[in-house]
Amino acid sequence: MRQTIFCTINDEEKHLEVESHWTLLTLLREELRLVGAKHACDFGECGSCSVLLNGDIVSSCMVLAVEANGSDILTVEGLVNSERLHALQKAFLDHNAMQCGFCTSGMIMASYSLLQRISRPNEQEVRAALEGNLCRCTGYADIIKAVQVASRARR
Amino acid sequence: MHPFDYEKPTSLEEAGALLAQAEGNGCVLAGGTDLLLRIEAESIESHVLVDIKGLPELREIRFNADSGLNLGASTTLSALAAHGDVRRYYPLLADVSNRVGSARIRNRATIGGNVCVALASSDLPTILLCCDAVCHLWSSHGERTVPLAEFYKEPRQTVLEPGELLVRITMPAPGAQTYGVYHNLRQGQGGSINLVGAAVFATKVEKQLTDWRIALAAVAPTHIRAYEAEQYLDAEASGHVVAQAAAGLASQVAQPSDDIRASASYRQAMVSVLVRRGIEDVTRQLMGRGR
Repeated sequence: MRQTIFCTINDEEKHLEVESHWTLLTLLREELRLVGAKHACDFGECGSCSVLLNGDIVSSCMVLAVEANGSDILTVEGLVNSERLHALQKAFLDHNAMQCGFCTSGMIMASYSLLQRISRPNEQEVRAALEGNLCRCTGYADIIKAVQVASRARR
Repeated sequence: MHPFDYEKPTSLEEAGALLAQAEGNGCVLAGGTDLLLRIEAESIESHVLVDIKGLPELREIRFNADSGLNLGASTTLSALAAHGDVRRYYPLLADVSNRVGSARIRNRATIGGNVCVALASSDLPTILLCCDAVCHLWSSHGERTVPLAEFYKEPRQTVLEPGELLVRITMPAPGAQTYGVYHNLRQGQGGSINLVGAAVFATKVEKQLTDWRIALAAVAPTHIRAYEAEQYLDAEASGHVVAQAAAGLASQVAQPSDDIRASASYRQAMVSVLVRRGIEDVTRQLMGRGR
């Protein structure tokens, strides 16, 4: 069933035609070509498709596109401000907080959500916020460090 | 995912009509953290999903010292864990809600969904059982109430009739000196499915512990209360031997099965360990020392 939804994606208002069985991830990646959110586990386990929905971190593979009607969505692409990387993105680069990079946008969105709530998180708070964001190559030490560096950076 | 229709009613009557129209091929969609997985895995086929998140009365959380807690069925676990009254009067409910899945799951998953999926491995129903939770079921014929202790029939099976919706869960206000703990075992720290879970509650009245409640997860086809162990604790004076004996009684009502995660005999033995720890923790907290 085709439905029309209205939502704001990365500060842009959109009217979109979606199929009711599409996930939000399908809409973002296949229709809007916003491929920052990654398609990996498909059951809300790995965190690589994380986006913010009305300010809350969610797995976009576990939300239907039609459920996002009327919502405000932020993806990793929306963090860049006139070509300038967000402090988190810069810190991830500076501290080698990635290898293959597949988990990175999810890690950054979960960290962004954390910094919205706690501006200077301690290590334990970073670990708790990244619970459920899986990385299979870098390990977590540099990621946690990068989040803490970003939290201290002036934007 | 196979194609299906999606409807988002704005009233209970409309929701009821949509489900009736679907003639058994409709599913209620709340957080979707279980339903969408099952559709994806093709373990259920649904022609229409009826999204109940548009029903305002299902989102309410209200607390009153006389009537207790009223939880709208579509309250997310994050909202539950963050709510001031829940944290103050039902701290264990808030704490355990905050440990389900990850933040991304808790921002979507609802308390009504958690109860209605009827999986004996989930944590929260043990706490709700100890708090005497009552399910309020709505259908176009009216509303009825069913205590949570009578809500489950078997795995994935509840007393909900076709076209009936769980709209809210209520529970009485706790006693001034009621305390509860929850202990569980998972496969490693990140493992998300319970091997065994045990909630233990008691209330202190005139320097005595009474009204013991013990509820178990993942050791029977549905969540269960360990009534014999509770009655034994209510009748006996405190002591380590009593805690041990009560824990033994609790493990006798467990009917765990073997599966890929743990053997039945391990689960049975762990019920006894977790319940004993629970009894000791509750006693220490309320009486200031071990039993």
